[in-house]
Amino acid sequence: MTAAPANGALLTLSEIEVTIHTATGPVHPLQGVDLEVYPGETVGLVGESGSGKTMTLRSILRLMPPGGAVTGGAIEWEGRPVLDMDPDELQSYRGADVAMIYQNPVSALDPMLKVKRQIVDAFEANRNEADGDPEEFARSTLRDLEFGDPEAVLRRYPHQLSGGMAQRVNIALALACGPALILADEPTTGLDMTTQIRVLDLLERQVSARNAALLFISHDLRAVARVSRRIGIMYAGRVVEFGTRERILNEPSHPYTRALLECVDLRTGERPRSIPGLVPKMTEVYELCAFRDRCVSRMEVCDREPLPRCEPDERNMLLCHLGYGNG
Amino acid sequence: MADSPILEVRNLAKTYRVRHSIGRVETVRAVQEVSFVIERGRTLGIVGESGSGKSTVARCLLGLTPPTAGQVLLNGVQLGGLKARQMRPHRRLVQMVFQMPQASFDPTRTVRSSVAQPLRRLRPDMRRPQQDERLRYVLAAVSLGEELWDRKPAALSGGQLQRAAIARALAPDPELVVLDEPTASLDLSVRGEILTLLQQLQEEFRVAFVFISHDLEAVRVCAQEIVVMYLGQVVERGTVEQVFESPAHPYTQALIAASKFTADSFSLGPRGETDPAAGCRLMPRCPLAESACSAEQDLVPSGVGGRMVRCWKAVRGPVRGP
Repeated sequence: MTAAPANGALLTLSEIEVTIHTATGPVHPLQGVDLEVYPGETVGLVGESGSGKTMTLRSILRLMPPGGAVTGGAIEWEGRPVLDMDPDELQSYRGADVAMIYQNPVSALDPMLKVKRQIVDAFEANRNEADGDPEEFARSTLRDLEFGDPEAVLRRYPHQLSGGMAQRVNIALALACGPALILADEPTTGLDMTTQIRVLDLLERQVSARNAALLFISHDLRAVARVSRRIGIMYAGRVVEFGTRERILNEPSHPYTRALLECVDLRTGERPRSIPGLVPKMTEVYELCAFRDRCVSRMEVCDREPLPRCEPDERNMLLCHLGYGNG
Repeated sequence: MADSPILEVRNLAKTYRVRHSIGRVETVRAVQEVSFVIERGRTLGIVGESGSGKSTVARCLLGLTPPTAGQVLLNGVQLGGLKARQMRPHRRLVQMVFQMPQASFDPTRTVRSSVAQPLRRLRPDMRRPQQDERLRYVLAAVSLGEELWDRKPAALSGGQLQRAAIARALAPDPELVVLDEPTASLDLSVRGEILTLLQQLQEEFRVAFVFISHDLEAVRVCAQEIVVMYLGQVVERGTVEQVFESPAHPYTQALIAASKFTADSFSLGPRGETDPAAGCRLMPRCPLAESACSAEQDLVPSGVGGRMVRCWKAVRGPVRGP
């Protein structure tokens, strides 16, 4: 047994930096990500494409793309340094501690194996006999995920499933590992709105029924708000604001968070909002605020001083010269 | 004088025969009895879940798929039955913007070269310098920075590439552009910018749009008329105000509730393994269903203002979910 971490967090990311060496030079997708996930809580990360959401999840599992490496910071799982784990520790950490649900539900499944085989394999690889019969687990989990005829679904190949069904099977696969934390990478992005809501609600319900924690990422703030109690906003490889769902939705402090909220809310008779400008190139390392070129509240200090970190308590955080209480 | 419609769709139907295992052939009615009219310079929104037949309708409008029954009239000319040569002058009148801009551009060509292609093909009446001038005009109209014109698609962001796709569609001077989920693959932070651009271009080019999307909020911003489809049928049709402010059909109500992402005010049951082939297609999922719903439902006028609904309960009086 390891000592419980001082703050009680399940997962702690401190100042994570990732560098990927490519043919055209180094890219820095993560430039100091701070994040904590506590046992049993649901956390969401929102950001535009290229903001580093997926890379954050990959760094947690130490699944780096070719040429990529975590070059700075620390990741702790229940107080254990993840970056120092040896292959055996890593093997049991992936799956049994932390499981992942991927964006494309059909390509995340093995096309050659029936659903039953895949769930049973995941169960057997990560659990022991005391956890019960794998096939019975597969049936009951599919029932929990509102499949009318679990038996029929277990006999199918992935190509015989619709997108919504395939994503529910992926949720079953993650649950089969019995993890304390599930990472979900835009799990509903390709689905219809009606299906999205259903899958999000099932995911949230099943994760909380098993006392697991959820780290959910999406570019869609609406989806994140549906499942997450705490929300982090990512920009240019950093979490720029973190807070409770209510705080982020009702009293956003970072100008970027406010701009994102305006984009979501299309009002009749008003011009639809967008955020002018482009996501910054991650070939650069940003010492100053990376959002300032697009920011409506840009001040003189933004061009001069590195970002100050406001942390009124351990569950709220803001990286912005404006500080809290500016709205 | 009232504008004559640019496009008229009458009782459009498309049936596919799908071969499964040996001997078993299933008939899929992708689109049944779809009718609507689009006037010059206006936008019609088509909404529905995947499998509702939205994209099949789009393909029929472009003449990419021959309809099984019904007519598509472009400027009063029926497209079905035209030979390829006869079709050519009509091709430039209807253009398309696809869902995934990255997949709709040739990765080996420059953006300028891809955008020029429909001009070169469909505007033989224009001389080369005229075409080049038109090309610069449309690329500037979508506010695509000139430094990007000679780049390959991979160098552009999703939003920039979608601007180029819109320029390409407008280049041959069409009267109708079919937009198939134009914002679905984009970040929400650029969705507004593309929607605003479409509104501006519509005024400038006086072009009609068919806006196909499952994002009801986006359709609401852009369209004046809405067609709601479910399993190949139109279940509700009306103006944006009618459909969004007092949705009549239970399916429309459910879609609107879903698009807000917060409310559980009206939720449908899950879609079953097999869809009903007769009666109300929504019946197995509808919380308001009763035995009378198993009779075939017609699309009939409901209330005033030309709204049409395919639900006997909604026609009798307003329905609301539990």
